[in-house]
Amino acid sequence: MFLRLAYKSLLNRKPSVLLTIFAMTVSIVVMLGVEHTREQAKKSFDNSVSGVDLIVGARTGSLNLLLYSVFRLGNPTDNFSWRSYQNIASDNAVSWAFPIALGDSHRGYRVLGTNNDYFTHFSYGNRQSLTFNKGQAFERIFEVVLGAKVAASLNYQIGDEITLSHGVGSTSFTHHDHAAFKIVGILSPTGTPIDQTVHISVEGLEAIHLSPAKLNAIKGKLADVSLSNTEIFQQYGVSPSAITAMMLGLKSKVRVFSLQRKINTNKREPLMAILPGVALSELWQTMSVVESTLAVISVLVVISALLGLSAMLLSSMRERTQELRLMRIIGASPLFIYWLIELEALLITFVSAISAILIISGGLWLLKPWLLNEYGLTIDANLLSISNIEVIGIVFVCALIAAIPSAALAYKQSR
Amino acid sequence: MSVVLEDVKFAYSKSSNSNILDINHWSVDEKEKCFVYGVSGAGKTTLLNIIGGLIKPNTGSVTVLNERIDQMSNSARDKFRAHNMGYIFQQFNLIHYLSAIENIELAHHFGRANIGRSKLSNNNTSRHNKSSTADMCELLERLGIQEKDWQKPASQLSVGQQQRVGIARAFINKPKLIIADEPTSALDQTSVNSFMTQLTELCDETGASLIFVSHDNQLQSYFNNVQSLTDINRASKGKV
Repeated sequence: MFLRLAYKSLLNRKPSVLLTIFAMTVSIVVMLGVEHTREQAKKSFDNSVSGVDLIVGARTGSLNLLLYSVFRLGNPTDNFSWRSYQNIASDNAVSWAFPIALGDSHRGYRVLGTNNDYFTHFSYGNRQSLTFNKGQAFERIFEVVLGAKVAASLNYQIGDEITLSHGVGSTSFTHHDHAAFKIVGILSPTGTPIDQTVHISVEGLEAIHLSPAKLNAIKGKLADVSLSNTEIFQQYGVSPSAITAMMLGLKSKVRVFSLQRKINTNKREPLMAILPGVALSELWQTMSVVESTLAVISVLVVISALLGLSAMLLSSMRERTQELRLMRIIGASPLFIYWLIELEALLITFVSAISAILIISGGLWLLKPWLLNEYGLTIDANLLSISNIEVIGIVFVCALIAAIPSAALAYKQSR
Repeated sequence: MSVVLEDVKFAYSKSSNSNILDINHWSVDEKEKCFVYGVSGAGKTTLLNIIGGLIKPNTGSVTVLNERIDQMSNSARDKFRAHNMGYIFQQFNLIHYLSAIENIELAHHFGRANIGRSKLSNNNTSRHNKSSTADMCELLERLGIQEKDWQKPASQLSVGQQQRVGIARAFINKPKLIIADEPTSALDQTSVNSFMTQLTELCDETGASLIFVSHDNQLQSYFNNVQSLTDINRASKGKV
């Protein structure tokens, strides 16, 4: 009865109530949208790398190194020598290491030159290893493993052959047409930049940049299955010249700082090593100004919508004098009338919150493919995280407060 | 006795000595239908508000159905009124966005909530509930409201229909006292006759007392006790 009364009373003032609901919906969309995107972006970034103890690159800013090595964002400052890679990889503290060589692309997707350790040791999310949806890791020089997204959007199958382009634009003018790569594996989706990466061996990446004569000679050797990639390269006196970065895991975590210092103070080549977790928290620190600005703006938007709600309720009190007096006479207590007004405010907030959640979920569901393509962000369309529920709860409490002036007025008049 | 007023004085501002009401002794018997005649501004509505406990007299005692309503707490008075009194006004008897049925249900809800808490067990309340839905339909049919109009918002009913739904609303909790404040002044003559007949018949059947105030002398014939407010109210005598 109570609820129906509040509902019918709101229905009776449809235009102003609908406008208020609209304003409240927009404000909750802004607030939840900001909160949710922030949370999800953070999660998406945090999930992109795990289980890697150090990332090594040419000397640059640690954020920069993190962004280009893990997220393929921006361009590498410089490469470093293969010899340094080998030195570090053979350090007795290092358990495993893989190189990361960037610079080429296939139809706009970044090509990453690495070795087989990449597939066994790189992990994302909560220490999840990479798994193959189809096929397996590359063995030979001209074999390629695709990220899930690359295979899906270009509709590639195992056994297809692709060629790579020099540079990273989707419209490169230099194509490595003379060397085709055979697709041997497709990774399962990870929701990280790996999905949009084309993986080949560092040797393969080096080979396509060789002179045609050497390239053809190497191609001829490939039929000999007994030789490994490195052995073929050794026979021709070539080795990968330079790589962009390397990731490594240690035998014991306690040696991470000593190795980091050793790499940072290396006299032969200017290198730097970063801890991914530390670099990520630096990233969030630089973002925190933006975050808090957005948070303040969204709070202000919600406050203005709540003030609108308060004003709407208050201005309706005059026309409701008769109605409230009648309720008093048939036995409604002043408290009943107080809570009737409060309930109306809560109903408006409830409808607004539901519409806001539907709008954001729907929007995210539609935008999801685009966000993943353009920014490599995976955003969960499920809004019901604990912090989001808290945000909605706070909005409800504020709505209760916003209705106090009108409810108190009604209470006072009916005493 | 349904209502007994003893030495009741009331003024809207306490500082001034000009009382609106000054009643030495006035009472209404059980099952009596009392017509109080008075011109506008004579204090008719004030009198009804004092009997209904909506305002407190400055001095004196107000006894309704053998209870001192002027000594009750606010919430006790709300409950007492919801359960024991039925109100009918000149207009705005109904909450305009609720249907006829819902208006009556709301009044019933307040009346029932009050008994439910004090006397009846859940079992009895649900039985009470069922019978009251039947009561509602019976009342509405009896008062000539067609079933197709029951679910319409009250604002879409004619004034005559609204006043008759008002009667049903007033009677739904089987009150012992009906208070009517010029309920016929917005009606035409034909409607007035059927309204008065239905109201007085229902009072007779349910055994409720009726206190009816109006400036319209012609309604006297429906009542067995007719009084002029000027005779009761010493304050008005003083002015004249």
